[in-house]
Amino acid sequence: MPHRKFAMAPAFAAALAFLSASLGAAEPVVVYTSVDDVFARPIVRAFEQQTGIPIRLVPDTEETKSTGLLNRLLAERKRPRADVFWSGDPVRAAILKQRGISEAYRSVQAAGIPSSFVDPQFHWTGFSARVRVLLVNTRRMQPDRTPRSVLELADPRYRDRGCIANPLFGTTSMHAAALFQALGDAKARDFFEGMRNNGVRVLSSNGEVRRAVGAGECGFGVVDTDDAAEAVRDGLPVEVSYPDQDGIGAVLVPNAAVLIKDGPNPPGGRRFIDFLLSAETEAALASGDAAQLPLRTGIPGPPGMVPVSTLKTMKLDYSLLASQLETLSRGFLKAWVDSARR
Amino acid sequence: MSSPLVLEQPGRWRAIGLLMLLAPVALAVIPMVKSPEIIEAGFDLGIGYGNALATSLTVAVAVGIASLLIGFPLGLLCGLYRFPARGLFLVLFALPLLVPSFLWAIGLAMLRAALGWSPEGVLSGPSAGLMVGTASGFPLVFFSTLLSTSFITRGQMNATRIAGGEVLLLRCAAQASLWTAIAAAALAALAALNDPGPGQILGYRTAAGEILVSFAAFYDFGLASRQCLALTAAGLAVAAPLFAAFAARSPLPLLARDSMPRVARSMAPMPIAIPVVATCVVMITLVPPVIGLALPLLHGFPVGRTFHEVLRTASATLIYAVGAGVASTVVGFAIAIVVARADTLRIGALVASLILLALPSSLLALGAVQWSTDSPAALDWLLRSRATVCWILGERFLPVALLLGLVAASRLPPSWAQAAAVHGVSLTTHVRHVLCPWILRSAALSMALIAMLATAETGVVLMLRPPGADSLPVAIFTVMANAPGSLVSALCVAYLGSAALVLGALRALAARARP
Repeated sequence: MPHRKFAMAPAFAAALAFLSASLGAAEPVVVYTSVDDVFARPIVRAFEQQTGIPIRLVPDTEETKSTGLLNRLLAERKRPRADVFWSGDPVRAAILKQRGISEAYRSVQAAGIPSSFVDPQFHWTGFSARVRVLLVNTRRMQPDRTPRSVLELADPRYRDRGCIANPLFGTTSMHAAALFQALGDAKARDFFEGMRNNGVRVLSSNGEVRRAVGAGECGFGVVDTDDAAEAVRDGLPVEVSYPDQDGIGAVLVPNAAVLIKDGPNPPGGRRFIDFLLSAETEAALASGDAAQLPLRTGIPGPPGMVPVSTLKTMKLDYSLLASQLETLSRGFLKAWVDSARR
Repeated sequence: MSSPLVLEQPGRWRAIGLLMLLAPVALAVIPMVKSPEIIEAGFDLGIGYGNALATSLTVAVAVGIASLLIGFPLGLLCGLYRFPARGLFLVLFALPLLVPSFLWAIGLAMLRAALGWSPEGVLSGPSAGLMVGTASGFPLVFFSTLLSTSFITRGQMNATRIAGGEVLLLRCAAQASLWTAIAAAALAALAALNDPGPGQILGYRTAAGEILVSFAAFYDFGLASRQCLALTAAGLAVAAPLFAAFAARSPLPLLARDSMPRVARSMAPMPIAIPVVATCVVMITLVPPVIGLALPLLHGFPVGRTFHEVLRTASATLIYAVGAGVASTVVGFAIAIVVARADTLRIGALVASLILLALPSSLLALGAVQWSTDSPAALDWLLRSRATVCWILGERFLPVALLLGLVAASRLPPSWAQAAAVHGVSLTTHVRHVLCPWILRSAALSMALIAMLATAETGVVLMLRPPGADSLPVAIFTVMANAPGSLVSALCVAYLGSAALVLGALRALAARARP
C-alpha cells in the first residue's frame, strides 16, 4: 500500500503543476490571418514576447485560393473561435462588417493613421500597406519601352507581353474593383476587353506572376510590393515601377485589423489589435521581408521604396469597394476570367 | 451464446447495423445540403459551370483509365512475383499518396518554366492535369490489386500453374482482381474530379475550381453547394455503376482456404522486365514534378526555417494521419463485415460511401463547422478539436476502407463459420481467433493508405484545424504563394524525404514481422 501511495505522488504533483500552470497562463488569443504566414509570424512572436499572451495563429493566404478563412468566419458566426481577423486588405474586412461578423473597436494606438484608412464606424483599421506595382523583366523589355501605367496592359505595343493574377481573388480582385471606381464602368470594361484582346495572360496568383516575369515568360506583370521585393531579393532580372504616377495613381492595399464580434477573448483581441496598429509594428513590417509601407509619416519605409506620402495613389472608398467587388465578381469579372482563360 | 453462423446468414441486424454505422457519417453532409439557399435558386449553377464540368469529367475519366492501365498490371506482377528492388518500388509507389496534388502541379509548372516550354504545351492544361491525377491515382489501383492478389492461396496457385503454367496463373489472378482494380480506378477518378488544385495551377477550368470561386470569391454557400451537388451527381453517374458491378462480383469462396501461411512469391519469369517497367512508371509520374520542386534549391537550402516548420507541424500531421486511418478503417471494416453477405446492402453501402468521396472536401468541412457552431461549447473537445479533423478526414476516405474491407471480408470462407458452429465455438471466440486475424493485413493496409491520403488532403485541414495545429502540407500550402521559392522547395523536399523515411521504416517493420 505505501508503495502505491508513493507511486501516485508524481502523478499528483504533475496534475497540480498542470493545474497551477493552467490557472496562471494567460488566455490565448485566436488570430485568423490572410496575411502571408512568413510575414505574420514574426509579428505574432514579438507580441507574445512583449505581453506573455500566447497567440494561436490560423493563416490562410487568399493567394492560395482555398475555401478561405473568410468562409470559416462566416460559417462560425454563431459561435466564433477567432478573436481577431488580420486581413491582408480592407475589402475582406469590409465584407465582415457587412455580414455583421465584426465589432467596432477604436484603438488608442491608431493615432497617426490617416482617417481614409479607418472604417467610419471603426469596424476595421488599416495599417502598413502594400502597393500594386508593375514588375518588369529587364531582359525582355527595352529600357525606353517599359510600361508606366497599368492601363498599358491593353496597349497594342505590349501585345502578348503582360500578365496579371486572376482578378477574382486576392489583391488583384481589389485592384480590379478599384479600376472600376477610378475609371467608371464603361472605361473599365473597355480596358478589360482590351487586355483580353491584347493577349494578357491570367495566372493563378501574384506569386505566379512574379515567377513568370522573373523567368521572362511575360515581359511585365502587376504584383504587390512584397512580391516585387521577393523577386529582387531572389536576384531575378526585374525592375519595379510604381504605375500611373501621372494619371489615376497606384492602388494602395493596407492591412486591416478586425475585432470579431462575440469572440472568445475580447480583451486579448483588443490588446493584439493595439499591438498591430502601433508604430512599432509598422516599423517592423517595413524593415522585414514583408517590405510594407507605413501609413504614418515619420516611420522609415522599406529600403529602396517610395514613401506613401510622396506616392500618387487612387482615392478609394474601401467600404464601397467591397460591395462593388461582390457585384463585379459575380458578373463581369467572372465572365471576363472565363473568356480570358479559355 | 451466439453462433458464428450469424455472420453467414441473413438477418435484420445487418440493415440496422449499416444504418447505425452510416448515420454519424452522414451528419457532416446534412447542414450544407439542407440549406434553403440551395432549393430556392433551383438549378442555377452559375456562368460556364457546364463547360467546366465537362472538362473535369473528361480529365477524371482519363485519370481513371490511366491509373487502371498502370496500377493494375504492376499490382498483379508485384502481388505474384519477386523481382529485384521490389521493396524499393513499393515505397516509391506509396509516395504519391502522401503528396498533395497541388505539389505535383506546382512541380510540373516549375519544370515547364525551367525547360522554357510553351504555356500551351503538354506540361500545362488538361494534359498536365491528367499527369498529376494519374501520379496520385495509380498507387490506389496498384495497392488494391496487390491486396486482392494476396488472397490467392498456395493451393490455388499451385493448381493453376499445373493446369496452364504462368500464363494461366496471370489470367486467373487478373480475373480475380480486375473488379477491385476497376473500383479503385473509379475512386482515383472521383478524387481527380474533386480536386481544384491542378486546374488552378496548370491553367484550365474545372468544376472543382468553379466551386472554389463560388466559395472564395463570391462567398456564396448556396451556389457552391448546388455546384457541389451537381459535381457529386456527375461523379456518381460514372463511378456508381462500376462500384455496383464490383459489389455484385465480390467473390464468395466455396471451399475452405489454406490455413497454412502462403509460400513466398516465386521469382518472376523475366525478373528484370518488371523493374524496368516500374522504373519507367516512376520516371514518368514521379520524377518530373520532383525535379521541378527541387530546382529552386539550387539557390540555397534554408535549413533552420525548414527544420522549425517540420518540428512545428510534425505532431498534428501524425495525429491527423493516424486518427483518420483508424477512424476510417474501423467504420469501413465494420460496415464491410455487416454487408459482406448481403448483396443489396453491399451495393447500397458502397454507393452511399462513394457519395462522401464524390463530395468536395470543403463541403464536408463546412458542414462540420456548422455542426460545431450550432452545438454547445461543452462539446468543443469533440467537435472543434483534432478529433474532428481526424473524423472528417476518415469519413472522406471511407470508400477506400470499405473497398479493402469488402475484399477481405467477402473472401472469408463460409465453411470456417460452419465448422466453428458445429464444434460449439462462440461468436466472440470465432471473431477473435478467425475473423480478426483474417482481416488484419487488409486493415493494416487500409490504415496505411488512408493515413497517407489524409495527410495529402489540405481542404479539410484548412477549414477545421484547431488554431495552432497545422499539418505540414497545410503549412506548405499557406506559405507557397509568397515565401521564397527555396523555402517552399525545402519544405516540399523535407516532406517527401520524411514520407519516404516513414514508408521505408514501415516496409522494414512489415518485412521483419512476416513469418
